[in-house]
Amino acid sequence: MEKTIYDLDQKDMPTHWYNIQADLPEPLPPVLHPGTGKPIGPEDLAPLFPMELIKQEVSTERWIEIPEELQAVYRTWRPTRLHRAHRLEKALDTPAKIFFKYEGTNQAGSHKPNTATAQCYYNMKEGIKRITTETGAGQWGSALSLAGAFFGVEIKVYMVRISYDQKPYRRIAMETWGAKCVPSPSPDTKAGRDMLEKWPDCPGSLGLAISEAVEEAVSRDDTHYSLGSVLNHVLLHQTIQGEECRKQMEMADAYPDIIVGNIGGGSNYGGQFLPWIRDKISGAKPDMRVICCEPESCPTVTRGLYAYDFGDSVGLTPLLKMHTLGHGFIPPPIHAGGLRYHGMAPIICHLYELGLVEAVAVHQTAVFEAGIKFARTEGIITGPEPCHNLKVAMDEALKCKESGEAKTILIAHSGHGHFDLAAYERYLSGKLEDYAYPEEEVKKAQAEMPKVPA
Amino acid sequence: MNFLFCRTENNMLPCRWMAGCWQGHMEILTFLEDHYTKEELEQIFVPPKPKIESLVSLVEKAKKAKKRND
Repeated sequence: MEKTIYDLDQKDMPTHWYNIQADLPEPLPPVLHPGTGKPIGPEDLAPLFPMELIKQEVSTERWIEIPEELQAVYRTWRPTRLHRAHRLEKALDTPAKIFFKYEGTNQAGSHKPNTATAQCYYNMKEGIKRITTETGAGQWGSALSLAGAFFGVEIKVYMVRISYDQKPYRRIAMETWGAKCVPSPSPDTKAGRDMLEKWPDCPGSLGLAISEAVEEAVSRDDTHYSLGSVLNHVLLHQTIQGEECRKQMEMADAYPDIIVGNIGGGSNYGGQFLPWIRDKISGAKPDMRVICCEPESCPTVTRGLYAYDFGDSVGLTPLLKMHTLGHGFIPPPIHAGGLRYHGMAPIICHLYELGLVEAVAVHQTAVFEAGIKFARTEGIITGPEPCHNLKVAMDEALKCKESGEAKTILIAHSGHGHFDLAAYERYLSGKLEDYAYPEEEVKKAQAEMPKVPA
Repeated sequence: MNFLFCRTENNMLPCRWMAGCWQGHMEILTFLEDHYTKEELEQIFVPPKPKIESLVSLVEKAKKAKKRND
């Protein structure tokens, strides 16, 4: 019998998160305060986050214990399954062994609750009664609302007004979990009131929703703010995925030659591959390949520069070293959801620069083609972001077919695409187009970047 | 997504993705050039600040506003 599912017993669920900062060959470059130009310290973040999360943000301890109360909540959906994609392998006629770790089976349908529940727990322990956040289409807002229900913390979600009006399903889910969801701009904050005064019918924006959520957190002692990607502590909480996966791959008597995941804010993929990459850093698995996938239409890592970029046109001090296509980059149409997000996780940029991970850019029609093939073989309708991984994993599997090698490929699968069917509809009706950013345009945009000593 | 939203998403200026998203539907670059100054166009296509930098800036702004109100 072909074994297809590798379930880890709940008693074997990892009890610690893995912190890559303990093993980095070179430390992360510092993030500088926009006002002082000095490295950002705990006091700068204290109005927003509980002290335990701030400590995790800068910690260099290798293992950080997951509190038992949080483990009990994790156990409502964890461990998640590791799947062997036999049907996909057969469809590709490849000798490669394809595995995928699927994070779409929890109550909110994505990997986001791994950190949402952790953040809620630490806030609750420090006496915080309320947490604010912003959401666009609602994936992060849903995860935090779920977490609030688990820990008895009131969640207030500022949802971009146009999404609030036009995409009600996630809003209804958030409200069902007990969160208060308000359209942004709202009359609840100065930022919102100012906007409504100028323009009563303003459709809102993610930037304004963030401003409102932060303003409310700073102005109330019982309220904090929560973010679902990019920050070190967010990636730390996600490492439970990779730690579980290590045990499950052992059950399958396999070790990945290639790990594939998509990069945007980095939280899913970071959580999946960071626990493996310590074997590469230590020299135990020097040949393991870790591939980050991104859209060809926004090739930030594959074609961008790793540099200090000014965050605004007036040229204030550059504060964070990251991959950038420069200010002149005009983004083309794209339907990859979070992957067009500019703010790559600093840890992932750093690992790429150290040569520990590689990056591949793929076209969106091929991405959805892979998503369709996966749906018709393994049955899961995949979110647009992890569809990038499917495409790259299938390409690697086909290379194995040519070479005859039986490599083991592990895919990080962050969740289903049940709320993203409009993108599938565009693909199926032939309305999606590919776009590759012209090399001369990339060079032009980069030529305009500020000259700052790294 | 409606045109009005795309025109105002970026602090009342067009979203930086707008040129790409609307290029198949209209002469979007001409539209932008006709309706915005050179300075505004430069501002439109500036990448957003890294998340943590934005957060610290927003905290400073909110602290100042709170102090004024107190």
